[in-house]
Amino acid sequence: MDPIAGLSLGFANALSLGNLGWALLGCFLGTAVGVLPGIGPALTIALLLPITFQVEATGAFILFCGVFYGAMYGGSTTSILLNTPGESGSIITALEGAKMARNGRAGPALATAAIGSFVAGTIGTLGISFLGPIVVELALKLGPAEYFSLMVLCFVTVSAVLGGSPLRGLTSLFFGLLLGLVGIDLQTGQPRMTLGVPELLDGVNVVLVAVALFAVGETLHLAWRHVGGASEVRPVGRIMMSGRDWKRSIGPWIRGSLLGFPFGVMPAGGTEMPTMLSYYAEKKLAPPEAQQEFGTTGAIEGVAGPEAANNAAAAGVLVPMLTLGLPTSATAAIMLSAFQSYGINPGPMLFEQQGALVWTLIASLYVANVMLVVLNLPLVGLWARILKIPQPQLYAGILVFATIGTYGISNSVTDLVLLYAIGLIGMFMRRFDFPTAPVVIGMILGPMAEQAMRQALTISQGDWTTFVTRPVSLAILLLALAALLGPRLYGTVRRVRD
Amino acid sequence: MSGPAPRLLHAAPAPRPAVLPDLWVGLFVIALGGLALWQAAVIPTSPIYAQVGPKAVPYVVAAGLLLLGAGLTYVALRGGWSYALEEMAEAPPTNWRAITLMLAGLLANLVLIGPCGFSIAASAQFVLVAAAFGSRRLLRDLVLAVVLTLLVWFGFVEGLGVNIGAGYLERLVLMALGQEIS
Repeated sequence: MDPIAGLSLGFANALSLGNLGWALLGCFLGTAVGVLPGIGPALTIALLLPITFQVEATGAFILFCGVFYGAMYGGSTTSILLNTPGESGSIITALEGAKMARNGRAGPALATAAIGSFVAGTIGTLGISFLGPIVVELALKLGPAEYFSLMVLCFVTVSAVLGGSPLRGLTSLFFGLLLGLVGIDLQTGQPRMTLGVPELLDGVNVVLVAVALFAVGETLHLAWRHVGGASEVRPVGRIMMSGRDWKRSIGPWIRGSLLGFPFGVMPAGGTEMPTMLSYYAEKKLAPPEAQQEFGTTGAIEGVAGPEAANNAAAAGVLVPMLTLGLPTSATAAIMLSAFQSYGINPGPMLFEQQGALVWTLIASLYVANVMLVVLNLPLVGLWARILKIPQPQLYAGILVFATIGTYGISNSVTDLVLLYAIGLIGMFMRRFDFPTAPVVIGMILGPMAEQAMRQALTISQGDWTTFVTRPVSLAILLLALAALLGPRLYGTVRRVRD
Repeated sequence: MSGPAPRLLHAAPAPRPAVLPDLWVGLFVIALGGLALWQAAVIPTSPIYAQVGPKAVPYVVAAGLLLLGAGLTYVALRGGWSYALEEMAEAPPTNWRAITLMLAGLLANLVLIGPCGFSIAASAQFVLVAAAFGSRRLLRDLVLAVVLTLLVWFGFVEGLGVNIGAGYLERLVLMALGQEIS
């Protein structure tokens, strides 16, 4: 299906009353969790996963995508009004956004973030619509060997390239791979890594791990270092942008979007890098009088650019997820497990076999984008009020959801013990600066990689060289190696030269 | 890699904070790798023919964890990485009261959820966790907790169709609503 035909079919479906309702609910929930510090889209979608038993796939995914996009919008509100970024993508927004808020310009900062998110979301979704089918064309030519290599590349980029240290990133990844192995081996039916516990035969549930790391671990870590006192929420003021604000924002919005999208598409779904690059680019490109505002009174360019880059990167993550079945962020990994619970395998065949679902999903991304900008500008006061929920009750409430989300899986106390055990590990991971997203990605992608590897080896009749003799597979593996070693070699060369 | 840091005679750098915590992390990862290795070894060899058996990948993962654990231990022995974390430098001291109350909350939930049902267990947890984060209004938290947990229970059971057995509190509400209890 070509993009135009696909989109017209998609819009016809997405604009039905039921699907509009799911999109609205998703956007609302997403913005709320994006605003609340401590919960993000990955955790929310994980808690909503039981819905896959009740609702048909289209509705559920429209809901999930609404949450995904909504959380990106909401994240900026926390950064600007509270100066505490909720997720890694909004850290940069806080730099200038919080300074603008301190100088009574919270309104323009929130407005440029919301409209910038809309611009970026639209550009990103256009990118998905037109790039998606092209990637699918290419992906259909890949065999299991190339797929396996692609997953290896994905492992390397999400764990070793992003974040503070390759050693710690890879440790997180391998912890995830280990968790993914638990349970019955699909090809031979042998139980693996179960420690003889019968409850573990079905494997470790990804919802449990996501909730453990993102809710229990986070809350435990906060309690560990807790000091009393509430943080101050800056007043919102009027959500208006002057003509000058508009003029200063348009360039950064577009540059940020164009910068962010490719970063999301590449199997390195980070939002830190594009937001940071956008920030420095805008700081350089700003006219001299605006440059004085950077770091002092807060420059609007420094909010508009990174916020657009953040949203475009988030949209880009959906490209490898939908076309290749490769999740490159924790949220995408959870969405992938939702596909699996419908018995749908994301990947190149998805566009052919589930064309209606995919295009409806993409169309509803456009819808969600419009809804979010309409919903967010007038309702920003309401979101700001959410920020005033006192910490004790907020974290106690998050744990109530964590408990029911996990206990609901199988009514088993064993699951709760596992939840708290992994939550404790998550607390120490936070303390010792281990990234948590690679755990979830490794857990979902690990079994898929193992399957691809075994398929490839069956085709090659057990010949391991198949991964390096097929040119495309070799090229991808070399790329992975370069991503792993490149930065270190560069560092060594520089040190030798000095 | 550079050799040991050069020391100036005067202005000797302050001794590095204990590397012990980082060392524990390295040893923990090695232990995890050992556990994985043992579990990989006890996977029964499959009678079904396959080019790659069920044991291959578990061995790879176990080996990876052992290597990474060794790497972390090595880094810890050379001074560790924690001291360089910005967050750790500014971190307030451990809040023992908060962490104890928090763990007590989790434990209470674990013990109560089987015999008493979700709402009672989760309410106990809510009150303890709120107290951990400095809330002093016990009674208000309790009321809030009961209302919230019941709402969440009904939301998940009726809304999302999750099957969670009704405990004492849920039965009471169901009875008050005049519903049949299955």
